Amino acid sequence: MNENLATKWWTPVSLRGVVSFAWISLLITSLMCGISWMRGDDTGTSMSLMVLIANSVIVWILPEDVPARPVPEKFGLFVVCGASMSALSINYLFHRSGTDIGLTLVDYWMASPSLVVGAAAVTAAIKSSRWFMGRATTSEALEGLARTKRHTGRITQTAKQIVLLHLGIFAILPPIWTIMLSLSPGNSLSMDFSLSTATLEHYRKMWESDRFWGWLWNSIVVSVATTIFGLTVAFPAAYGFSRYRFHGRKIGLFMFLIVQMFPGALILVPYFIVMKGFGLLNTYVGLVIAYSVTALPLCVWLMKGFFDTIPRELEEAARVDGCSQLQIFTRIIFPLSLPAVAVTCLFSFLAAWNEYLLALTFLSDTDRYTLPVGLASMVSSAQAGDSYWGDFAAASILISIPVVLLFVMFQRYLVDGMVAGAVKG
Amino acid sequence: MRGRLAVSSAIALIALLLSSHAVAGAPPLVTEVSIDGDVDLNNRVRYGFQTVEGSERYNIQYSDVPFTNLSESVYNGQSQPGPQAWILVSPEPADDPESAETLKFLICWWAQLELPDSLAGDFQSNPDWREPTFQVGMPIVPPEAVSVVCDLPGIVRGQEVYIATVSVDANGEFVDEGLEVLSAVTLAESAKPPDPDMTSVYIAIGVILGSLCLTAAVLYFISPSKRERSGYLFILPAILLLATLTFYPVGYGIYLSFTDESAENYGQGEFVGLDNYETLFSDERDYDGDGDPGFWRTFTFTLVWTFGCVAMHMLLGVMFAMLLESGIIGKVAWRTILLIPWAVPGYISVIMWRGMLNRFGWVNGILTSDIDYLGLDNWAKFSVIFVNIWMGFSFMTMTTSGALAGIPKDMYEAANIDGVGRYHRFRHLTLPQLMPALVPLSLLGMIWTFNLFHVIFLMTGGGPDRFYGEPGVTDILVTFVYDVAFIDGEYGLGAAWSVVIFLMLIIFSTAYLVVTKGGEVEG
Repeated sequence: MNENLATKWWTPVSLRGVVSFAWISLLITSLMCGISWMRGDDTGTSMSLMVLIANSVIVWILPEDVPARPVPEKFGLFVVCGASMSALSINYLFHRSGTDIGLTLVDYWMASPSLVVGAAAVTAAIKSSRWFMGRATTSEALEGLARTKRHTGRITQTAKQIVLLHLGIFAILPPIWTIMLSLSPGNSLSMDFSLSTATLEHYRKMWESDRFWGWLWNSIVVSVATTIFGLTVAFPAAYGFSRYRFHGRKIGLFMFLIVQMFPGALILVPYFIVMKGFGLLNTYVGLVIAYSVTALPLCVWLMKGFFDTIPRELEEAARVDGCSQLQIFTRIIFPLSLPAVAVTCLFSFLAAWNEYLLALTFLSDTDRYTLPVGLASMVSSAQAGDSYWGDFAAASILISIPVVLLFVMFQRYLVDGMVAGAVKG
Repeated sequence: MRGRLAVSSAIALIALLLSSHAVAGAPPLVTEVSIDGDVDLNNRVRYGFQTVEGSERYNIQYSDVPFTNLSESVYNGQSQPGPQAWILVSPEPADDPESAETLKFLICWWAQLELPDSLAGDFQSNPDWREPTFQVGMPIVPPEAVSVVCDLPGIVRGQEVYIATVSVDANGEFVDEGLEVLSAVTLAESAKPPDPDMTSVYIAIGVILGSLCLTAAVLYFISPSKRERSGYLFILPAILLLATLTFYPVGYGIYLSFTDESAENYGQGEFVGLDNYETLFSDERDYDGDGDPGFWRTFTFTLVWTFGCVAMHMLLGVMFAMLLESGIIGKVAWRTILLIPWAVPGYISVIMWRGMLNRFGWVNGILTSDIDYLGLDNWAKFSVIFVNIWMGFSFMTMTTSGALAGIPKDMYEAANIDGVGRYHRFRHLTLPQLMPALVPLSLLGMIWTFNLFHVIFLMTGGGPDRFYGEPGVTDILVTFVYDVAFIDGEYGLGAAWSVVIFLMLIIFSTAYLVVTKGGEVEG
């Protein structure tokens, strides 16, 4: 084997690993800059800016291209930047501990990645100094390549898991906050949650509150009625569009397509006036009609897409065997399309369950509120003094759990359905 | 004349003077303060006082709880005390009262007479009483005014309110230290206006239903194929529903935009041509004097909001989906966690974030910063966009990861063998495969975000506010339409805004479809 070749094709895995993690610390350091600036901490901002610069050097310096060209000068840069990252992060921690606020968890979180990555960069660079100088021997290179092969997967996996961890925390922070708020005593926003004072008083209050159950009942009635009514209309329409080729079919389909582009605001004002005229404000009927029509296009498109996948031959065979149209409907089409019907039901149910704007416009009587309007009214005051944040949090948790479970169970169908709706509509 | 109030039609006029307790020892600031009740649709309290020499303005302060000094007055949970309304005294005699436009903020009259015994009278048509001029919603009375009467709107029925007038001189000092607090309770039932004539709506809906049924019948019987024609029967109910409850309201909305229909002359709107559209762009409502009644400012922020949110959704969605699909351990668990922002009901997420971003909320607590995220112009803009990104990225991640999973793996293997770099692999392999899903999704995402109401409405309510009557800093077009139509009650103007929004959406969607050549109608 050619000596040069092995050396050239090899970059020590430790350096590559350091760079992978340096990307993560780069992102966190950027946040450190932003947060220091938001705190109005000028010294901290300039320190974190310097960390950011050192970090960027480490990220960009390693030649990504293969074969790698070892450059001795880069060794120095690597060591200097790594060392300064660590030193500056420690300095930052010292600086923060000297302020009035003192060190917080956030400070540790922001400073430790660059601290660790900097130290790792120095260690890795010193260990691979021979590679930087271009003096690595073939046997070293072969050994290193083997090590690369062994460790690369684990390094990238760890890096990805760290990124996902941050992402996951970002995704569940607000729900966690809500859970903590719902468990802490008092109804104010400025909670200090601790396990020893945790209380279920808000849950109990909501559980015993007639108003909450009333809103829940309104929401259930409206959503169920919307689902049933909407499906009764959408099912035959989807079947008709899928199975029959009649004049005006394309125009009809196109109509169902463009309706989805109508802004709710355009319909809102005339809806309100017409509903007011018919005396349908503050009634279930008004809301159910409005919701069914809003959900209709998506339901029709979803189910039509599904019917298209049921072979027509099935029906023809049944017809030859002497089935009537009704029997075809009840014995063949309906059982086969149950999954699509279930997903469509779920869609229109969730749409009605979560709708806010129309409900807000149509309902002015607190006893008629649906959950979205009702819950929002609990914390509607701009100032914290008059709001029931603790009760709101407890109610939100109670409401969200079934909905989130539904989403988790049916995520495939929901995603596919939304994509289908988007691609077609 | 706009702004004609139902007060003048004397619909429901019961109110009760409950008690009047002046602070012992302190002389009353305004002599002969009298509260009389006069309540209309919006439950307003009519309130009058004699003017005081040397005042530059009168602060009117009302409160839910009794108060003996101004800092104790608390209204509607607003913890910061301060006057809720002002009446200015101009240095010069009043302008022609006819030229003034009455805003619904605070309806006010002034006269050179003493206060009448009963305040329930109709001041608008009484020759002795004149309307003041207005400046950004604040009434201005001339120095020769002897008494002023005004209606304080939005007082909750059945709830006792306490009202005081404080006279302030040119130096900002109180003219007199004394304070007389009066209380009133509005007992009137909200009067319902006469039911409007709905015949035209019935006729219109009847005509639509009839003509559609007729069309269907004709098509049914002239249809060449006996087999295919039953399709009409299947789709007819859905078409009827769509026509009466979507296309008809849209048409009605377009018609409304040419009328002066409003909450006050509900059902009696008259055709006013393009007036509403002119109002949208004219300086007539440019209260803050920046040469724009708010349309272009709102429009710009709507664009920033739409493109900012959708671009970030796409970017984050594609990035995280690639991360999810790159062979990580525990994919199902991460997927489920990342699903949560999408799964939590939207209104709950928004309110959660509003609580967290509150000045005394969790975000400031954790970051140990002190920023009023929802009260400062730029931070408020940033916050609403940020929250919407949080709410939307997970849906894009899910959909994109679904699309990514469908890309055949052997293409990547081939690319690996050929030594294609990471960037080129993404640019020439992944992206083209994702495009058919991403293009319509982004189009739909833009339409959704453009029309997204509850995020901004529940986060900031469009605030921080600029001037009364102008859109707030974070108002987008749809949230401002709501304000115009349902807070100000100007249905015609609201409908005109809606039509403009609709036109913009049509232009935008068409342009987008032409440019990307995507989203062909599948027949």
